[in-house]
Amino acid sequence: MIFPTYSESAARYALRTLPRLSMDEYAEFIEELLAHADPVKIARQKAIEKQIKTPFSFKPESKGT
Amino acid sequence: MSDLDLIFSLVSETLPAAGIDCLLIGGFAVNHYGYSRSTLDIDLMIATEQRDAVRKIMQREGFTNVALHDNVMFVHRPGTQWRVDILQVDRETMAQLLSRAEHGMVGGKKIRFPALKDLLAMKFFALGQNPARRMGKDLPDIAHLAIHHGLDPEKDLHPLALRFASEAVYELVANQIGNLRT
Repeated sequence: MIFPTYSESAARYALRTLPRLSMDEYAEFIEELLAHADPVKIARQKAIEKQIKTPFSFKPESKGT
Repeated sequence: MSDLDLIFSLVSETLPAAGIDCLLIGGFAVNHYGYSRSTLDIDLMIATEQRDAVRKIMQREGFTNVALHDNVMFVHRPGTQWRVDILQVDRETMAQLLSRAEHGMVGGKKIRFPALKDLLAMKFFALGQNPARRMGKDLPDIAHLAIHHGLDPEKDLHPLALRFASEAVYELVANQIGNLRT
């Protein structure tokens, strides 16, 4: 009998990640998360987003640095 | 209708009906490509010249708290924790993103997401702007998506890093992928 193989590194990787959620499961998860989110964390995240001074672009001169 | 359902309706129906193209990016796009992680906001992308039209529609839909910044508009509905971040890009960039966009179903609505390589390009760009502050989210996003899709760091990610960020950012990503694989 031939058993399927699953590499040790792949197994370790799988243990470190959340299970993959379908889009509807993910929406449910985020809805629940946001219903109980810490306002301080939300404000911190907003502050990070505000720091985007240059918009993403495919123009040749555009670079994140 | 939940707040999330309202957003999905906006993205899939209300904005397109007004002639506004919109992509769902951020955590939902990352989940679409197979990596599930938490997020504290909903991220949309639009063309810059459509910002005022989007703002009016969002206000009409009850998102009355609007904060305008250079490249991003934050909106949320009073009394909720929900915040929608609407990032703006130039028209040509939006056209390219839309030409390669993928569709997915969320909450029974057909939603457009950027192509995987375009999403990775955005992540490299954000990481390149401020590696220290973006490492907690964009770095793992790139690494997990690369592993999940079997991307070759040198062949698939290095050119994106050099184009949208830097060699140093590529090194960070390559190390992260190496750490996750061992």
